Order: sequence, then structure tokens, then C-alpha cells
Amino acid sequence: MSDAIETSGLRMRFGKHAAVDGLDLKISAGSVYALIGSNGAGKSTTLKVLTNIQKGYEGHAALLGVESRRVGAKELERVAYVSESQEMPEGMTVAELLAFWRPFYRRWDAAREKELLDLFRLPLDRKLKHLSRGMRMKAALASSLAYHPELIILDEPFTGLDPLVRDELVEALLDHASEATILISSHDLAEIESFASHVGFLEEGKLRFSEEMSGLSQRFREVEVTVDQADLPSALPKHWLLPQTASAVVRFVETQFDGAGLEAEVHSVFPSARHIETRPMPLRSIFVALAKAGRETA
Amino acid sequence: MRLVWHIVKKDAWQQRYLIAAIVLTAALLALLNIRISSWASLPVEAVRQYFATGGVAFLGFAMVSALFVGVLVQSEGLAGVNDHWLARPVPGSALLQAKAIAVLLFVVVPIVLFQATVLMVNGFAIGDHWPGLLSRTAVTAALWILPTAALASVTRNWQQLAAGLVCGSMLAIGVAVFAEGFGYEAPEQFSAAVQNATVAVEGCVALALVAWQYFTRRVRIARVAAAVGLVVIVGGPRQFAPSLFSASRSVAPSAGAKTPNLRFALDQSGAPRGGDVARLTARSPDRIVRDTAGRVRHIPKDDRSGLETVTVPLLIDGLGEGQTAAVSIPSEAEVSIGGRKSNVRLRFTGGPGSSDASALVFDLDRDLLRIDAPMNIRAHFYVTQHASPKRYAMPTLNGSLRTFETGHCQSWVTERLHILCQRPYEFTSSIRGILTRGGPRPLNLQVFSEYQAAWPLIFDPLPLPLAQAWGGLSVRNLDRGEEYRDTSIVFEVSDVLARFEQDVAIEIPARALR
Repeated sequence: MSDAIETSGLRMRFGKHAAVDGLDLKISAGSVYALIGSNGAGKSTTLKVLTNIQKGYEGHAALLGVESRRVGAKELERVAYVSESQEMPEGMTVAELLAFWRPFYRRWDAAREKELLDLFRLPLDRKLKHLSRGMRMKAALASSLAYHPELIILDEPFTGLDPLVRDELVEALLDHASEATILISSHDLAEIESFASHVGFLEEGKLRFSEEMSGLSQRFREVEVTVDQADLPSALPKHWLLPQTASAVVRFVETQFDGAGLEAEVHSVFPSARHIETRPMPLRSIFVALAKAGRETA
Repeated sequence: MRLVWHIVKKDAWQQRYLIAAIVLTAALLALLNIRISSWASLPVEAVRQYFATGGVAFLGFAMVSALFVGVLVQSEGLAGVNDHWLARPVPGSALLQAKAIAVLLFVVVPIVLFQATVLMVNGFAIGDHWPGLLSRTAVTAALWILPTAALASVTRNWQQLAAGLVCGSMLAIGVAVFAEGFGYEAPEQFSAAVQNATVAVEGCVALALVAWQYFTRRVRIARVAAAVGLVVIVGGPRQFAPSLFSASRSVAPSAGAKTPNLRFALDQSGAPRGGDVARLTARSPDRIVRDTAGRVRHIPKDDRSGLETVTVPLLIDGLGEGQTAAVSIPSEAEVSIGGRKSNVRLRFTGGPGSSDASALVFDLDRDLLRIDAPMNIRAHFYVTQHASPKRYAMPTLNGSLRTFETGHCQSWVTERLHILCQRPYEFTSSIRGILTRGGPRPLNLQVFSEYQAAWPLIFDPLPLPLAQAWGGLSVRNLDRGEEYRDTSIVFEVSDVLARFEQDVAIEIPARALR
């Protein structure tokens, strides 16, 4: 499968601060890729660099096979970009917004536009400045999905939206998942988990991991070990995160879970281990564990 | 092009209220100026009312059009990374074209229509005055439309734009004051050239910035360039105008061909001759010539005025039939004696022409003359060469004259006899009036540019598309000015053939000062 997005050694500096620091990323066409990370991790900057909104990067970044600094109207006709921080033309009505963008896209699909309008129940005659946050996001999405984009880039689309609106947005996205590559950065990990096929974790401008969602779910486990005496040895395996003790119980997050291997490793570290319990982790818990571990290391 | 017009239509609809305000204020301006020539005969109070309303209308027009340009540029903002259009397939070139068309249609066209209406209603043919109309429109664009667009392209919202306009103006004033204090102050003869250069540089810098932003969106570089550009615009032309004009002169192929054979001499013996004669090369009227003068030595003491005055006769030769030369000077010259430098007062005596009585007079401080050392004086003067004048006459009482050179001249009697000539944009020739009563008697005609008002009013921000030459005479018979019956006013208009700037270096040996 070809790559819809590719970066290597991507760096974006603002003064002395590197918002993106040597990012190597590949996103296969057709995948739904979730880019997660704390605030300031470099997610939004990465997306803006890729679409040539943010200028002045170093290294290599390519969008649909075109070097990002050369991305222009021809490429952007195949891309949808929606961001929670986007400044919309406040004085336009929803109808005017759609009418304005329509001629710019040769693949604009009036039927699709109507479907989206029906799905989102958008008031056509209302100015954008009079719409709620959720409605504005829907309007932005409607004007970005009506031309069957090959690549959909969403930057924190669910921030500040109520669950109902989130569901509607996800529904619209899922409708497109079969015909487009989706790159989504979000804090709403529960929503992402439901439809992302791949996930990447960005921390301080660096990609800590990038893999398929199913692999991630299999790899991470919350582990609880019952021992005679809960003393933590000074050296623990590096793939055990956030070790904690409470009376006769040791808890940690295993990042390289493989069943039998874990049991053997636990016994070697805790010879008095009497019981080992593992629990799968939702994406949100994985993210929190990684973020906490990152902070502790720092 | 289809997309360009699509954007123009979008902008027109989105900014329809601002466009309506622009059209309304332009129409109000036209309405107020529609019978501008008849204002002259109105009482001063009525004219003052007109001007006050016109001033408000003009300020309103300037502010509304600047706001329109700012909003127009920032509706697809160029300075940030969050604007909705940035990830859309909109080429920067299409956007730039669309914005340019919108400014042209909704700001420039109303300006042109306003001027054209005023000219036509006042009896001036557009065909005769289109260069003035175009240049005036270009100046308007360069003065505030393009700088506003440039500033809007490097700011993210109207608050930043307004702050930028205020800070930019303050910086401009600061730099202007600094340049005035330490730099080249344009002489009156070349002030128009310096002004034109300033406006041209301003327009070019602003245009380059706007284009740069639409094609690259590198806002940090653009902001630095804007700040540097502002300093260059305000300080540059003043500092470098003479050198620039001299440099442009050397590459202008036609300059030599039109050289009038005009010569100057700084000599006490009379006729200009080789050695002491600084031959100057003439240029077209708007250009500067700065040559190195021949040195004049052994200037004797002026017995009539005493030791404190050094008089240098200035002889002008080579004027053609009927031509005249007007000399003007800066108020001071630089003197150095015994390592001490100071400024001394410089005067010019004599009138236009090559009169023997013409002279440069340096008023020296007596203290300077007590120093037993040679004295060096450095100064410069300006000469404007006028062609043989054309003459047009009109009756002194209730006269009316309309020619291309004089524009529309009228005279009428109130408590005084008033003479007023109005011409679109500027008087391209020098104009003077001569009253034929009791022998030819020069009238004091004051010429005002389009940016000034002839009427005795306070500061007036309304630039009329008509320049004025205004004069007045006292009358004994307040009703009718009977004493002027059967007399006429002759207007003499003469084209400026050339303008010169000449350096003068005078060395006076110590013994000549004792």
C-alpha cells in the first residue's frame, strides 16, 4: 500500500524551540491514523507543516507524494483539513460558505453535500458567527467532505463538543473511511479508539511509537502482581511503566505483553509472586500511562 | 479567471455595507465640489461650512476605504496559520488578482469618478487632464490604499492593523523629524520631485510587500521588510534625492540634446568668461543637477556694506529670446575659517533675468573676520529657467477667461477685487498676473496646490482636484470697483525649461579680509 503521508527527520523550529523534532512518520493510504500526544507535543504543527500551512520546516515531509513545501492548489483539491483552531469566515452563512467553496473543487458532489447537510441538520441561512461550536465544526466538515477528499486531516475535531455531536461527526467520518485516508489528532481517545486503525504517540516533537491499533491493544496490559512483600527492586525491566506498590500488591503497565513471557519475567523479578492478573487497556489508559511515564523520565 | 471573479463576487457581497459607504462618501464629495468654481463668489462663512462638511466627508471616505481594504485583505488572512482558506485550493495569484480587482472597482473607480465629475461639471475636459487624473489617483493609491493593504497582509486582525497604522505613523513622524534634523532638506524647487519620489518608493515598497505575502506568506520577513521600508520611505528620498536624480540624469539619453546654453559666473568684473564660469547642464524641470562650481578667489571687501558683508556678483548668460531665470537660495551658507566652522546668513539681491545687480550676499559675523586665516565659504543656489511667456488678457471687473494653461480665471468684487484661477491638479507653468491700470503693475497671485485651499481657512484636509491661483486688490468703490473699469488683467504663463542646483566654493585669502 502506498503512503499518503511520509516524513523523515522532520523538524519545525520556532526560535530555539523545536515543536517537531526529527519526526519519522508513514501513514498508509486507506488507514485511519490517530496521532495522540499531550498539549504542545507537536501534533497541530505536524499537520500544518504537512499541508504547507506552516512554512519553514527542515527535513522531508510529503503529502500524497508531493513534498509539503510544494503542496499547492492541485494537491489541496484532494485534501480536507479541519481544525478546531480554524478561523472561519464569520460573516458568511452556511449556504454562502458552501457556495463559495463549491467552484474550487472539480469533484464537488451536490448529492453528497445534501447528505451531509441532512446528517448534520445545518441551518443554511444562519451566519457562522451565530452557530455553536459544534455546528461550526459540522459546517467546516460538510464543506470539506462534499468533494470526496482522498485525505482527511482533522486536528482536534472533537474538542469541546457534546457526545451527540461527536457521534454525528464520527458517523460522517466512518462513511468516508472506505474512500479516504484519515489522519486525526485528538484528545478524545475513546472516540478515536472506536474507528482508528493505526495510532502514533507524539511527545515533545518526537514520535514515541507508531503502530496498528490492534497491535497496541495486544502489547499493553495493566498488570497486578500479588507478592509476599511488596518491595520494588532497584532495577525493573524498561518496558514496565509506572510501577507502584500497595501492601502486598505490585502494579505496573506492561508495554511488551506476550502472555507466558510476562509470567516468567515477573517471577524472575518477584520470586515470591503468588498471583498475576493482567487486564487489557483502553487507548485512553495507554495514553495516560505513556504521558505519565514520559513526565517521570523527564 | 473564473475563480478570480468568484472571489471578487464573494468579497463584494460580504463587504456590501462598506462598499455602499465608500460610494456614498465619494458621491457626497462630488456633490460638495460639483460647483467648486462658484464657491469663490460665496461669503467666507458659507465656504467654511462647505469645507467643514467636505473635510468630514473626505476623512470618512479615507477611513471607510482603508477599512474596506483592510477587511478585504484579512478576509483571507495571510499572517497566521489558522485561516480557513489556507488548506483550500486557492492559488495566491488568484487571490491577489481578486483583491486587486476589488480595490480597483470599489475604491479606485469611485475616486476616479469623483474627480471626473468635479472636472466635467466645472467645464474641464477629461481628455485634456487625464494624466493629472491618473497620477492623482496613483498618488492616492500609493499614499494610503497600498500601505493599508501591506499592513493588513502582515497583521492578523483589525486591532493589529489599527495598532500598526498608529505605530507606523508615529515611526514615520519620528524618522521624518530625525531626517529633517540631520539630513537633506529638499529645496522648494525640488520638493515636488522629492515628494514624488517618496510616494513612488512608498507605493513600490507596499506593492512588493503585498505581492510577497500573497506568493510566500513569510510574515516575519515581511514585517521586518515593512519596518525597513517605512524608514526608507520617510528618510530615503530626502537623503538621496539629489544623488538619485543626478545619477538618473547621467543615464538619460535625451538630457544632453535639450541642454540650453545657460551659464553662470561668480565674478566681480562683469561678463561670464572661461575659467570662472561654471557651465551647467540643463535638465527637464523636475530633475536636479549638482555640478562642482569653479572657484572664485580674491573676493574684495564690499566697501558699501562694510567688512561684515561679502557680495558675490552672480551673472547669468545664455538666456534665449524672452526667457527669464529666477534665482533662489537657502537661508544659510557654511563658513570655515582657522578650523572654525559656522553658518552665516545668505541673501540674494536682484530680480529675474541676467541683471548686473544680481548678487549673492553673505553676512559675516565680525568675530570671524578677526581670525587671521583664509576663509572658505560653501553655499549653493538654485536657478529656474523659464521660457518666453504666453499672455492672456481678461477684463478686470467680472472677467472670465478659460485657457489650457491658466485654467478657468474669474474676477469679482466684494469688499475687495478678487482674482481666482482654477486649473485641474496643478499649474504646469508659472503664472503671474499684471494689471494694466496706470501702466503695467504686477499682481500678487498666490498659487495653491490641490492640497491647499485658497480661502483663508484653518487646516483643510479635503484635497480638491483643482489647484488655485488667488489674488486680491483693494477697491475704493465697494459696490462696483469703478476704478478698474476699462482695465484688464494680463496673465503671463511660462513653462519651466530647466532647473539647476549649483554649488559655490569661495576662498578668501586672509589678506583680503584685513
